Amino acid sequence: MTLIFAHLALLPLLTVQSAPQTPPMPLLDQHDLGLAMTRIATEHPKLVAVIAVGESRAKRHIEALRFPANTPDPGRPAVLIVANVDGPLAWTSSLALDHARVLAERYDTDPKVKALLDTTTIYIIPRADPDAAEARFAKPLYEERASGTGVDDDRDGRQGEDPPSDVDGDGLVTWMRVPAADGEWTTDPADERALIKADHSKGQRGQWKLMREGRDSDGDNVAAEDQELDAVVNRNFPAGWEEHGHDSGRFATDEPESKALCDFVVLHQEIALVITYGTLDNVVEKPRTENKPGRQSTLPSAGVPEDDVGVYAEIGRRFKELGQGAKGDGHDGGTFQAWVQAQRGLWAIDIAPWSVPLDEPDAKKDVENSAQSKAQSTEPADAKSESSTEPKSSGDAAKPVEKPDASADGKPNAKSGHGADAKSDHKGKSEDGGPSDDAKRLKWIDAHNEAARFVAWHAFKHPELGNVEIGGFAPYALVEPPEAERAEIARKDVEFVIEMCNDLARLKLVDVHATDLGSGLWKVDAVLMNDGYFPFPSALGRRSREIRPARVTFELPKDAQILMGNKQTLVRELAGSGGRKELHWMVQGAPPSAMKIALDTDQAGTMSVVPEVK
Amino acid sequence: MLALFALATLSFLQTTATAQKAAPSQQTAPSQQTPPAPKPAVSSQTGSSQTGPAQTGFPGTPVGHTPKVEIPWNRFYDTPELYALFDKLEAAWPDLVHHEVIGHSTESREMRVYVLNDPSTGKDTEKPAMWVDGNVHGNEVQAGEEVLYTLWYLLENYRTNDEITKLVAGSAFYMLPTQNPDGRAYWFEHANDSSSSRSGVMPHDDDGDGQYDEDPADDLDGDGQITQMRKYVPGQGTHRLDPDDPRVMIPVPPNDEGKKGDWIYLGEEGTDNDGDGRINEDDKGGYDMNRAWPSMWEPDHIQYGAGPYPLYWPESRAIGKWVLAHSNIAALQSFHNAGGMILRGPGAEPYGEYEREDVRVFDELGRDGEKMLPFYRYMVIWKDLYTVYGGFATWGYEGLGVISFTNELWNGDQQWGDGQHKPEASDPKSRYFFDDKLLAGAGFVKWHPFNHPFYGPIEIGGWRKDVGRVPPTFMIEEMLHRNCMFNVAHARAMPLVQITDATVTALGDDVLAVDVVFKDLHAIPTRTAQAAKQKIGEPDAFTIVGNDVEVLAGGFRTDRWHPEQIELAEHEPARLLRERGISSRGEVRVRWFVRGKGDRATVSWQGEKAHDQSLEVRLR
Repeated sequence: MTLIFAHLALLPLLTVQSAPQTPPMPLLDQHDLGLAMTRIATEHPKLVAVIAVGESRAKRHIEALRFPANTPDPGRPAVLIVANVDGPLAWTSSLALDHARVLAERYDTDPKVKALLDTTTIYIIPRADPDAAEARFAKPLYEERASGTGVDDDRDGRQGEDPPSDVDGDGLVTWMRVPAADGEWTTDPADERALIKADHSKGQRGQWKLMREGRDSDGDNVAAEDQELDAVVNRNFPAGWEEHGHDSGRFATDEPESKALCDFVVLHQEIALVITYGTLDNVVEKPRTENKPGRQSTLPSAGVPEDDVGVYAEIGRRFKELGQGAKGDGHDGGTFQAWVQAQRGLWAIDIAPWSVPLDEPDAKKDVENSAQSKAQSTEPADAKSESSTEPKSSGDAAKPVEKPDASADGKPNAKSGHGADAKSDHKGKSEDGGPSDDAKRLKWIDAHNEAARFVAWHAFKHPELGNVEIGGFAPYALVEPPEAERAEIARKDVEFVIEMCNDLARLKLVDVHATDLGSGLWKVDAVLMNDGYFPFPSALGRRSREIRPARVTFELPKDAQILMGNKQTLVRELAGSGGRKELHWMVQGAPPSAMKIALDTDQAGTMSVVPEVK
Repeated sequence: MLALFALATLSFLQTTATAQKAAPSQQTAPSQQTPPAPKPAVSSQTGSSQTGPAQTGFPGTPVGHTPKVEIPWNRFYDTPELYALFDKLEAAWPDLVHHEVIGHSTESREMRVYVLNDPSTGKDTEKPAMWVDGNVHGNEVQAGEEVLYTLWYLLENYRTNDEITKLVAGSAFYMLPTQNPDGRAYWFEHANDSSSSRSGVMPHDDDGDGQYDEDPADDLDGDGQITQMRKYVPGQGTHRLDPDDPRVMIPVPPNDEGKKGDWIYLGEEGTDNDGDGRINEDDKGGYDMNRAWPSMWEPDHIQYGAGPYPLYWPESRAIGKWVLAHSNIAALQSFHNAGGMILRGPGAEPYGEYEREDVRVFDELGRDGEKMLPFYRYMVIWKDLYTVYGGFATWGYEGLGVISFTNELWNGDQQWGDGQHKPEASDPKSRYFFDDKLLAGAGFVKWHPFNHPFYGPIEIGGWRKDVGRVPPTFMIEEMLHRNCMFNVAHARAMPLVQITDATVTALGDDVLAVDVVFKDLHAIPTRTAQAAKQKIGEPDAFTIVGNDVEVLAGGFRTDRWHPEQIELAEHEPARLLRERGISSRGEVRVRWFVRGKGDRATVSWQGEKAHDQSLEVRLR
């Protein structure tokens, strides 16, 4: 213990203030993150404990903070908050710890927080992909998404032989544009720093080939096209997993991080809600309603059932009341978020905490526009049948294929960091001929004095490729908010999360009465009621059948008998906001005081009641 | 132009169409990658004389042969017995067999892979390998004996039978006796019926009441079998008994005359252990380990038994990871029971059809199989059987790019021989006839009275667990042998690469053209079309190297008559890569342009699923 504090003394930034406005946590590497978690737990020993979740491929610990400190009772509702399951979003680990600190520090002063922590278990996994996150703290700086199984990206019979590197020695691994008559990229007339794909139908000619910054170690005239690790943790979950995708891993849950996260969720059946900070969003944009009719296959269609969409729309409304948010990249195949929602049937709130605003002056209009375009463009994002039957997008990093789901909206560039997705940073589809998304991002960078986020293209004599230009968006430039915005993001998100956690489905037995029918016969009535906002469970939860029903058991002495009704009643669903289910029994041979009606659930509370004589 | 022929350093594999089949002893190995001939067995098993007392080998002819290890092939063995028999084979042929413990089951039983390989002909990982397993469903027990028989047969006939010797010397076999040792043991050691104990034994809350495995079937009468229950309810029942055979219950047809039967059928033997009003609704386990594999995996609500994520159970994950680590697996068989089927994927319609070139290979093996296995039909799982997401053999092809089958062992019709006297399937008495006449009634537990805790006086009776899905004792060996030989046919189809021809042509200015023909003699291509399409594993490499030999250019010829039609490599002409490999019984022609003072070069082929091959070529 002394040792830990000695270390913490070296971390002045971690100083916890007692003021109500807790400053946001700084960016933390794996070591400091561990210390910060330990510190929160040590300072609030009755409220918080650090528990193990698993280990990464490189044997880094994956840990969670748990409120309360002691193992909670079965059936106590729980929320799981996960951050940094997308490797480049290392800063969101600190955002997750902001939540932990606020909860711990406000417990004694804020009745809302106290009520929450007294009735609800909160698990916070601040860093689900520690290996990829560690790249954020390495030199040179390279925005790494992958931390898992490598593949032979360029199909030359060698694996990982041509990784990205910092060839111009500026400490950053950015991009190279190589002049080439057969290149597919040209400059955006709106901003010559931005690249767009040449559209021959508009008379545009390709000028450049675009590659990750690096050597051409294998002499195939393409730089940095085969890095050592390829599997991305948040492409390695079972829902919509892309078999044979270059970044999806050998099989869903092969990566130790994704398996650890899955096991954690499977083990903790008390989790009713999962909140994720990542590249997906379902609060700023309403999730798409699934299309019901005309489905031949036994597979479910993409999208969310109508019942759930209504709930998510309300959640989104509340989120937007608290402040602005960012839109996600819409690519949910193989993600943790898709798995918990579609296959575990849990309520899942996906927050994309920040991205470069594309049309700042009129943000509202932008939301509408892109929601519209997304409804069309995200169509295949989930389609399992597609991922299995369609030829996968090529692992050939040199020729990135436009994926249909790469919509033109304000994606936070979660895909950068890998050559195969180079186009998602630099692509500039703009149907009306207006500025590309990258040009818009540059406009924001210029307007906010964030020049460090873009490395100006500069000439470089490449040892293998000759004259090239190096530049482009700096690593993490499109995923990390400006320091000045961090506090506001934390304030809004924490408030939102506290509200959501207080809205969980909570089942209660109410109006439990016994009526004397004479001669030792009793009629017993009870109502099972959902006192929370969220329905029990989601429509996807009912479909998945992974959420066990609530169990109401009538307990009575051995010599008594039930003349009408079930000893155990399984209740599979109950609407939110006061949804009710009436239960009736007739009993002989025991007075009401000897009867007990017990409610047992996995994630919505437990209680037992002795009927009152009416 | 001057044409020079390569040195005739033919390896034993490089036989021409007219050459005689190479006997093992003639298998000379000129290049280091070619497997040497197997060493003759050390013992005195010469067995050359037809008149001797007992010849070695047990090739399937019944006179004059004694197996080295006698195994009774007329019964089935519980998990420990099955492992013990494998161990016996390992002990008898320690130079050829060893086993690896690749993991442990839910109940900590060992998951064992027995490796059959002759190290004198190379490491197993350098040879094409066939994976054979069985019994992923605990009750489908004969699949375990099938794996055992296959290993036994190959061992007994290695070095005595030319075909088997060639096969075993040139390949490796990975054999997992049972994918589900817990389920197998549970089926043997506890009361069951023919279909129960299919699952593994990890507790599962089937009925969602918060308790696990709390309401299994019950062996109420304590006879070690889970049979059926019926109750006499005069004038109120749904069934009546056949007047000639009271074992048989006949449903009373729907009628408007108020006709009723005297009996009702109460289902499987058991009682309501958890008091929820239902009987036997939460049995041991409650999942399906053959729905847990990664390709086309779908969650439980779409595919019953799939578990929360692929390879969830320790057995599945251990097998999956081990198989993934062996890229030399070129053929895969996973045995089940029953129904008499040679199954291939796809398991589900949304997958679409398999690659056309690969389907031709499946069809060739499957149709031969139908002839080798009377009563078995070659079928596509989703189309001809039912939809299966996440099956093992479908993962073998879709995920691993391996030609993979699942044989469903034993078809009840086999008991009727040629079918001439087979009763109508609708005749409920047909099963009794066979049991009465050929098993003297041993397969049927006679109806007998029992006082049920809930239903009161009832009768219990019905078929034993070892009837229906498994053959009777006297038909086991035939099933084992025929399916073993289907494995042999499958394994013999694994790719065998041969460098058949190398020609050197002087082009002037010291430039030589080296033309080399690489062939795959067998039905399975070096890379299936699936592997090529999905970029599974590594592409084949065709290389040339020589001291003082500079490779100027090289590529794959696209027209055998026009040498100028070449897909020229853009980089590394001395190491040509080919995603498609060498097709089924096909050839790849390579032309290299070289110069230099060296007078010899070595050309070679390297790939994942066949022996690497090389040939020294004299350049001048």
